[in-house]
Amino acid sequence: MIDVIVVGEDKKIEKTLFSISIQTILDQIHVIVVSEEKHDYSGFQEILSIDEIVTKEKTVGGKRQIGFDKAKGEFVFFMNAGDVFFDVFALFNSHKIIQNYDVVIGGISNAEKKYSNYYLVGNLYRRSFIKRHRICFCHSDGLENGFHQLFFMAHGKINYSGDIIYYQKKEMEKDYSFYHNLIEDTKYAFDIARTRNYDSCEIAKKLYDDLLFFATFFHEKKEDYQNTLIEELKPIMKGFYDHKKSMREKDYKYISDINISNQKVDQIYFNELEKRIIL
Amino acid sequence: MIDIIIPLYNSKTIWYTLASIAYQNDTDVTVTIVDDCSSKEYDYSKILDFYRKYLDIQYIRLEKNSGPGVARQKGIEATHAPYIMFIDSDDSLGGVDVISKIRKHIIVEDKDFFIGRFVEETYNHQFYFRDNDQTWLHGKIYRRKFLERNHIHFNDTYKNEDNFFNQLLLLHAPRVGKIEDTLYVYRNNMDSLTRSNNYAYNYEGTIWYAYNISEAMREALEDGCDPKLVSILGTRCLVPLYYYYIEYYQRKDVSKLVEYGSRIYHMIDYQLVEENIIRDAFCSYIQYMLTTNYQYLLSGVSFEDFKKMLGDYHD
Repeated sequence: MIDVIVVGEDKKIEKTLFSISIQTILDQIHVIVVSEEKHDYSGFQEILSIDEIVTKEKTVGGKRQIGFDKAKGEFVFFMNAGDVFFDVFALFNSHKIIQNYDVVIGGISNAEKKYSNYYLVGNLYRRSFIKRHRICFCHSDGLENGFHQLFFMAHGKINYSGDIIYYQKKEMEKDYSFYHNLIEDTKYAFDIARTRNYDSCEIAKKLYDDLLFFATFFHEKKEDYQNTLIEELKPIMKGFYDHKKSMREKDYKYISDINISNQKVDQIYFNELEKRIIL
Repeated sequence: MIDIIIPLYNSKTIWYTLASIAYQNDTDVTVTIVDDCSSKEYDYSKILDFYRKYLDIQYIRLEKNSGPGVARQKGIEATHAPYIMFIDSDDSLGGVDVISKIRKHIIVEDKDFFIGRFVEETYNHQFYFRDNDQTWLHGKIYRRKFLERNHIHFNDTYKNEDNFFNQLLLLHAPRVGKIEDTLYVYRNNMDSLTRSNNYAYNYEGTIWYAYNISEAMREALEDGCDPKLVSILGTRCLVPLYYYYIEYYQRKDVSKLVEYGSRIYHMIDYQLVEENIIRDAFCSYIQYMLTTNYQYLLSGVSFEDFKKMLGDYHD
């Protein structure tokens, strides 16, 4: 069974529900909608197994946590209200390759282009792994609420499917609040990882990976708020060198290869940024 | 700009056909459902009221059961957008951007007939991709003006009625465009199970195949279509007919198969048909050779014998 958890106050949530109802493995899907007010989904009840949870929780992360806590299936999949599955085979494609893995990372498409995603929506997660490592959501409105970062640090086994699974009409606007929220989520994830004594090497890898991630965006668009963001990043990156000691040379190289080749980070710029943030 | 016509008869799955349209990122289409006199226990009013909130839906009910061909024809007559697409009520569209992709092709390319890819999903989740198919209506888009100008229409048969429509269309030499993407999903097919196991279905299907090909050829000739195209179609179709004959002649009444086959035979002008057409047809229909398990080798009926039989037959 797969629990599909839908969160968000978008009026177009019906499109999301339609896209779930046409999945070829519909008989294995249960839908959990988490929202702030009661809706009438009786029309959908004929065709979907669906529960709605009404909550006073205002943040996206908090709602996702509520949805996750209600889930009983073997796998969970998060969606934002208004987004849809890319086609009728989306969940089937991910589900068929998840044995022996803890997540299948699915591609996301939008109206202009296709791109890969590592963050939360589009991914099919194994619920038992999440529970075992007590991976949870920051009560924020960020992209992934620290969840996938924690998953990464808990060293979940990842299968990158390469199939386009998920469709969003528009990419999230990458403005100051987007990055600010991401930094809040990152702080949350590292706090939890340190308290729970996750493997130091895994923490270092993720810190490094995130640093490269931010470097790319800062490099692409030099905005006024960059300095503010860099200040916000500093406390998180503190102690990176302590963790870094447990990273092996090949981990360092592997992560920088992925980030630098995928996102074309300028090495010189990155070195400067590293000095500014970490020192 | 686009009409979607859905013939309906005792369907339990129309809700997901409609859901696959409702979730599109482009829902600017008119959906026309033609109910071919479904039994009384099939009340679609609740489903239609629900989907009417999201789609422009027209519902027509036929007084008596007339077949999927007539239902689609009534759908064509009740609509007026420049392009038409047919979806069966147990199938669905492919991805979320199917309509928007189709619209781009229609606007940019000046074609009468678009052939898109469709995928067949079997009951055990196997997938077969069909490209360049010319038999099914799945994943095809038709320009209304071309249909009207050339009297392309459905007849009242219940099997291979789609083949009749497509062959009649192709004999009128439309400008054909290709759409690479998967537009249509032929779903969850109990058919693929029944088709191979239930030879009564197959047998009947072959009779209607022969009838509909001969009718398409006849009408095309009457319409003044290029006799070479008609002859090529007829010649190619003799090959599967031959294999059908071999498969059934010892256990079923094949007189109708021979009768319609002979009509096809007599409409072919053999001077217009190059030798390689027959060779290519044998290559294309190789699956029939395999399904008859080489019976033709043991039957003592060669392809030449078969053609002679058709030639000698007179109504």
